[in-house]
Amino acid sequence: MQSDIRDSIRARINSFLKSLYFLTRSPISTAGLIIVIAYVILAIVGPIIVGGNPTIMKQYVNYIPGVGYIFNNPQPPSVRFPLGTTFEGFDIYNGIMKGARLDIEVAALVVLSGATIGVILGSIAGFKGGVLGDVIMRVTDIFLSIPFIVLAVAFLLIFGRTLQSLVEALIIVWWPLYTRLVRGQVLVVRELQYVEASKAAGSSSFRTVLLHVIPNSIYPIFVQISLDFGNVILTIASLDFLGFGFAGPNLAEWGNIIGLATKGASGVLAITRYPWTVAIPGLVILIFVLGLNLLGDGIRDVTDPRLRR
Amino acid sequence: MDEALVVRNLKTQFFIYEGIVKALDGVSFTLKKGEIFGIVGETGCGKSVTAYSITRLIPDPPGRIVEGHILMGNLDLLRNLSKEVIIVTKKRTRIRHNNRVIKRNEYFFNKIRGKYISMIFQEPMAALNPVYTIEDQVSETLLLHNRTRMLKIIKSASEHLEELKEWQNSGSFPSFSGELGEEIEKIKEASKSKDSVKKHQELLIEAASKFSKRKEKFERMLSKSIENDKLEDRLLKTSDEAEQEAIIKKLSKETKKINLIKITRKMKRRSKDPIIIEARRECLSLLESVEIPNPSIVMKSFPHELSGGMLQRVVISIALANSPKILIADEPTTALDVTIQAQILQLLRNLQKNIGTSIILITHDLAVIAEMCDRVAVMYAGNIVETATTSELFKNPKHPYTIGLLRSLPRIDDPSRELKTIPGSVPNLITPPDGCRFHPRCPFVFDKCKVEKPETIEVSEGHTVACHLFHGKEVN
Amino acid sequence: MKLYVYIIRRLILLIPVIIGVTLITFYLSHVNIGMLIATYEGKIHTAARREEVIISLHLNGPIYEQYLYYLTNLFTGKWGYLSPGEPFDAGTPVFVEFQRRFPPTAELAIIATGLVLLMGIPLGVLSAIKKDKVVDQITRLIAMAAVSIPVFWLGLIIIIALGPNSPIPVPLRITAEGQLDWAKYAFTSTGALQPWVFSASGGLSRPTGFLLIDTLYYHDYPAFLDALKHVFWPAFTVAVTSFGVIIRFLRSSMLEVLGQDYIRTARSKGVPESFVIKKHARRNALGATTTIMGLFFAGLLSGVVITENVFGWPGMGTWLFDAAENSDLGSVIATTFVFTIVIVVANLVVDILYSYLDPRVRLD
Repeated sequence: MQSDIRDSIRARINSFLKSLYFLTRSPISTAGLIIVIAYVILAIVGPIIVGGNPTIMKQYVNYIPGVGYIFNNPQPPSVRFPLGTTFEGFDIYNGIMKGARLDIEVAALVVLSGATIGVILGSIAGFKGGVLGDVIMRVTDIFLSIPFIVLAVAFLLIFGRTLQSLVEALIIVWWPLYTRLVRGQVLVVRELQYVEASKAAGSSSFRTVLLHVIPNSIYPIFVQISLDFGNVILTIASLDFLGFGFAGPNLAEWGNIIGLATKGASGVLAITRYPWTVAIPGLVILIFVLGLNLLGDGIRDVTDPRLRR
Repeated sequence: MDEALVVRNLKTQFFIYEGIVKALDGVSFTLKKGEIFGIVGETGCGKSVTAYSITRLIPDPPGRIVEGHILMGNLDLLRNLSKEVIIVTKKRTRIRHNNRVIKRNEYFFNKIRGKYISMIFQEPMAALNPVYTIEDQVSETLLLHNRTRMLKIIKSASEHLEELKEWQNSGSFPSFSGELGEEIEKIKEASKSKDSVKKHQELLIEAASKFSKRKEKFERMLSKSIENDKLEDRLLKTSDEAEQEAIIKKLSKETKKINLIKITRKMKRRSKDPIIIEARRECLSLLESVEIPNPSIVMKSFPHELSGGMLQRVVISIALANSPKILIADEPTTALDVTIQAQILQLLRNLQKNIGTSIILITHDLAVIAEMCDRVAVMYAGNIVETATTSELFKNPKHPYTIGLLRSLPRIDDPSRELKTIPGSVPNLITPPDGCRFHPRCPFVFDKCKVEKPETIEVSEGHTVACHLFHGKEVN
Repeated sequence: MKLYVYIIRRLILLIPVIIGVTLITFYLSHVNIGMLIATYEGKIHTAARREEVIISLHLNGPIYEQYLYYLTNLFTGKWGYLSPGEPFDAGTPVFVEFQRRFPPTAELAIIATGLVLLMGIPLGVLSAIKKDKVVDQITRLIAMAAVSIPVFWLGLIIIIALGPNSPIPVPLRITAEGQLDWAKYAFTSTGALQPWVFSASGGLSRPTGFLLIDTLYYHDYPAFLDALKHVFWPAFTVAVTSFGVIIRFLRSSMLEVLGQDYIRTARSKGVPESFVIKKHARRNALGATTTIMGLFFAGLLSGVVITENVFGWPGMGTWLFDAAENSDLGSVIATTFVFTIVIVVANLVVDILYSYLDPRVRLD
């Protein structure tokens, strides 16, 4: 009994390694993988390289000899400020280096929690079905009908603008997606014959679900996790851009940096004079999300049973 | 000429990542007029590929017919084959397409498919589009290929409107000449219930009156149609290639202009177009001819509402709607219950007698072959290895593969309990064996077999074999 | 089953969903009682007023009673008042503000959806037909990139690209002193749109609230063109970030359809390839796409909310964020409710559309 679980796990690990190999065969997926790895490295070493408080950007409020007051005067990229500065005297390079960590941490927390909840609820809804399953799916449908941003804003307003609320809000926004996904997969898998065989051989339902149903429903979840990582990061950035994040304007988060660009006296139009304040942090976000999407697509192509060589 | 179709040296290949699959390695056979010709073989031997090649339904990429001739009458359907592509073969095969020629050949084949050569396939449940009604899909083929006849019928009907109305009142069938007369005869024979006859009457009269309303327009349509028909006839009769080219060019222009709008929109229930009304009526006739009960209800149904047997009948009616010269049936009964299978086969045989279509019946089931076919070809790994009349094949099989095949059929009067198999397995068609493709599994193999591909030799009247064993034993 | 039977069934199923939504909004609004009371107090902040509100909302009663009165208020338009945080609108009923804010958002959303369908469907179909060829690769890359772009960033880049005279609309409201609230919104002067925008200062009355329709109604063609220009860029921004999903889904849906047997049957009947695609394949592929429409709309509306804030478009998106910053609970709840109901209804419409396109669905 113990050994067959171990064999099963070993087989899965092999299958995983094989998938990894196939992943690298496609140039596009490899590019995605490289980008994601690069950003993970950035998240780890970025704050260390620039030093200082890892969640707060470096701010120049006072007079800088040789330059002047840069509080309301964003500086273009130069030797002194490698990626320039933005309104209220923040160093963009500093912010970018520190930003990866926060985004990745929050996104990871949100996505993994959402996925876990989704797997549990989705398995129940799909496998057991019945009234409970219906209720779960109805609730899922209702939550999926609320636009992400709106729900997040409402939540943050009511429960306070803290990091915790933010994470909770995002988890609430994201779990329905996984529930629906997992349920769909479970519905398909449970009709497959080896599930019947497992039951016929006498496995209890729980064991069947754990050993057979879940592992075979799980590939689309990996795909979705990769894609959602990007979406969560975009949502966090959007919230921060609009000034609705959970901390002050000095938060080292990429969306927030862009938001600062509109804080000048002439509001949004100021960006036409200082394009780098918007373009650079935005590109950083774009490339990361693109990498995550490429990776997700690559995983999908590799694990799609129809395309297996 | 009593040949409906002559296939010579057909070679079809699939260019995929792993290499070139040489699916058909020079297939040749002749289909005689009015006969049922069987092609039998195991899975993967190329039977379906042959069928798809004849109608050019091979998906390109990755497949291509690389060589061969398919003669219908005097017309070689693959006339322009070599002009279509430029194959550049190195380690990875690249194909550059000559799109203009390909397009023109496409137009040409669209005329052939459904009108001269029809096909029916294996899974009737999946064969029809789930979002359109039966009526819609049957009429589609009529509207594509059968305008002339329909227009003639409507025109006659409009000229004999009074008599038709009389028929409606009295119930006695009138008799006319020409297409309308044929239709009335058909209705007389086929209609089992008074309702059905009423429907025919209604629709005929409605079509006729709508025709009279825009008489010139439809008269023009009719004469255009007749012209096109004449061209097509000429195309099949002439043996002058230049003339063939010219006619095809002209016909493809016509095909572009045909008012295909009628078949695109889901047919509105109250369409006022007489052609659509007539198409509907003929649909009714067709469903009656394939012995579908309650045809008017079935017509308005969707495919998922019908059973497999019914659907296959519908598919057959679509295939035979335009009285094609050739019908290719690819495993038509494999997916059906045995009892339904018998009905469908019987139906096919009856229809074939009535219409005179020549049928190519593809199957892996020797029982079906024995039941239905006049002549039979045995295929193995992309080659036809033996051809004979059915009784001759079963009594005197010559090719080692055929012998093995027949021997492997379990028989109830066989005392031994072992199943006899042919040792080995079907070869990889990317790297097929040299010489005779069967040689690795042949119990009679000798040196020549491993090197040289055997020619097809006629060993007795109408019985050909492709095997070195019979070299020198030809009958002349 | 017949189509109308299916429609009725779906309408009945709508009720529990709406109830569910009201439950959520009820919960959200009653978590923070203080905010709730402030919402219903309006301009007056005396203790007596506070008592009034508590009694009228039955906040001292049991939960189900509160819920009942909540529902009544909800469906009679008593949504509270704008919070005093907003200087020039304090005291306006939320419902009134909603009526003012809804048409611009609807206008933007509709045009964005139109753009998505216009750009997305042909590209998705094309990508499937020419699978693995250059067109396909490029389209997939575009779709991939489009999905990765932050909405707000795209809007900003467009503004940068269009320069200082970017088409950002002027707010449709003025302060109590009759001045425009410049500090909040970036803008550009739009001569033709003046009478429309400054309606309070002797302009025209707006019959529908939709800029495009209203300008046409008054035959003010220069204003109409100007309005078109103003609507286009925000709509375009939303469309670009949303159409990637449609392209990819339509592509895979189309590919699946093209592999079906009935396509082979159609071809064997001699149906020309263009009609195989248009008549047989497309309808089936589109039918399948309606299954993701719900999710698509949710994403689209999120994009609309963000884009409105970037371009200063005076719709529910800007309302949401202004209200959130001013702790205006009533507006936020109202917005949430409306958006959700819109998506629920959109889902219903799409479902019915699907059952019309694909009769198999009606078996349910």
